[in-house]
Amino acid sequence: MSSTKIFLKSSDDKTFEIDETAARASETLKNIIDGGCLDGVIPLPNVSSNILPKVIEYCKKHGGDNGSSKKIANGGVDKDKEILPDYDEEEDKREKVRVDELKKWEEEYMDFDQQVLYDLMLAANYLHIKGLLDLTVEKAASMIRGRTPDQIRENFNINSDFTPEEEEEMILIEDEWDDEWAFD
Amino acid sequence: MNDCSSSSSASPFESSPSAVATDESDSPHSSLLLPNLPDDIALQCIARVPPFYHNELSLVSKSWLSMLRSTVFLSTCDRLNCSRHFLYFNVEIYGSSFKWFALDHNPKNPRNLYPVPPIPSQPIGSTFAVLGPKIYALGGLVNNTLSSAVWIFDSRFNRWESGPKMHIGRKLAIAGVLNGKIYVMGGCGQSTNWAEVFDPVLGFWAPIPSPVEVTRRLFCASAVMEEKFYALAYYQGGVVFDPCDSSWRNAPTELSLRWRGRVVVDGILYCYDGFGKIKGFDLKEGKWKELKGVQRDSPAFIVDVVMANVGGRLFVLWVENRNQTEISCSEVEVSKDSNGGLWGSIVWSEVILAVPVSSYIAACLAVEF
Repeated sequence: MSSTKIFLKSSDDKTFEIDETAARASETLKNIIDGGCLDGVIPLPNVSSNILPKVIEYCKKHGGDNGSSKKIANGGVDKDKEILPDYDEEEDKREKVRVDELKKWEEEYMDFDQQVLYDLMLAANYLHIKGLLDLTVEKAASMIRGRTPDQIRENFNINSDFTPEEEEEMILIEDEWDDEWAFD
Repeated sequence: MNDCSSSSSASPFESSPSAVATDESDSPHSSLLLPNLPDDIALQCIARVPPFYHNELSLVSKSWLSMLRSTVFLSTCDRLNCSRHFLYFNVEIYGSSFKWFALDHNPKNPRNLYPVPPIPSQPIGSTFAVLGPKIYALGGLVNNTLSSAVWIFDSRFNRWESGPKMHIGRKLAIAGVLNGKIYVMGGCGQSTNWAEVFDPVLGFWAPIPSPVEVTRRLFCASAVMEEKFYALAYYQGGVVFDPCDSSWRNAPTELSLRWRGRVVVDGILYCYDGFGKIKGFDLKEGKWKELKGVQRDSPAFIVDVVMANVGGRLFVLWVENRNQTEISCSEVEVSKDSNGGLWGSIVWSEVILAVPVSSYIAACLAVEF
């Protein structure tokens, strides 16, 4: 494996170093590398120096390995396993340990506030790092599901743009749904 | 099985209650869904929230309301391509009404249960089967007549639709899914249509020839194991139907001894034994074994137990009469030790719903979408 160093420059002109293998976790960087347009430093005008190290940390963990992150996205179960002829119980156990370890890492990695979450989502989108985008989008979804409309508006700073009349009608609709709970 | 492509291009939200004039256009929304995030990313975030929340999400703001009704949103949901498993269950208040719920357990969620739209007119004694993201409600009793009606719930769009009718009316039939097809048997008199199979690709039911000595029996439960359909009977013994060669054989006698709650996880058929224990049947060994590590202290209050395999985990729901009637749920991780012993460890367990006294769980189903 080559361990060529790549240099990335953040929007605020700070330079960071990353292994080529790790950088390949990003489709955008991979295309730049493969395109041979590598001219010393790759400028990333959409990613600040606050967030770039976090992105690099993710790439280091996942560079050259998209298999395990895919398994996590499927809830840790590899659906294709059953049809593999050389299914190996020991290998399966090792894989489970690997997946568990990765899950734990992701849990710690994802412990940050909403601003970082947004920035990371934007960076993952811009750099086409599918695993990181999935992870961050899933986290945002978890902040929506199970919350009341009021809580969602507050958490995400959303203005309810319903007119007072519409608001009233929406409350009626909500009451109707609440009735679905009630046993008569 | 897990075909995520949309089978319907119509907006599933058009039938949802609305007193508010909405912009039905599919153009990108000018107002921001999640402030400080581009709408295409916000769409992806919201699309990951399971569909049974969507009704409530439309109360957040006008832009959320119109976004949830747009085809852009639906196609984003379709493209997600991440498999998720949820438990849906149906509570029947004896002789009165039915309620459907979806369970989304998460310690961080303030609540676990979400109401799911009811079947427009749910027959009594329907049989249920799940194909990928769809729940099929088969037959039942309507105005004291056996119904051949089929209702299909698409969990991706959170709504029921009527489906292709069976050839014969039935109630309390048995059903199972094999090779992406629904098999339904019994719950009717002796008939050439006693057993039928539904192919969702072709969209119709076809009768399966079945021997008279099989159709005479009274079946109470079914299970699908090793690509075969096991029909369990109270008294006359069970049978095994193999769709590969359309053969019928007698099932191991031991197998028909238990039928309450039955579900298959990792090839083991689990049942509730009626005395506070869960038992598992290993087809290879041909005997029932206790699931150790999950025994309860006071089984006397338990009225009804149902189970489902939700993404490889054993979910147990039961109705219990203590001070009031309640439905509780346990998520159990099951494993097999090197001696073939069955072990369960409870991941979480709590009361999820208070219900009227005469309630029981008519269906408990794992849905994948």
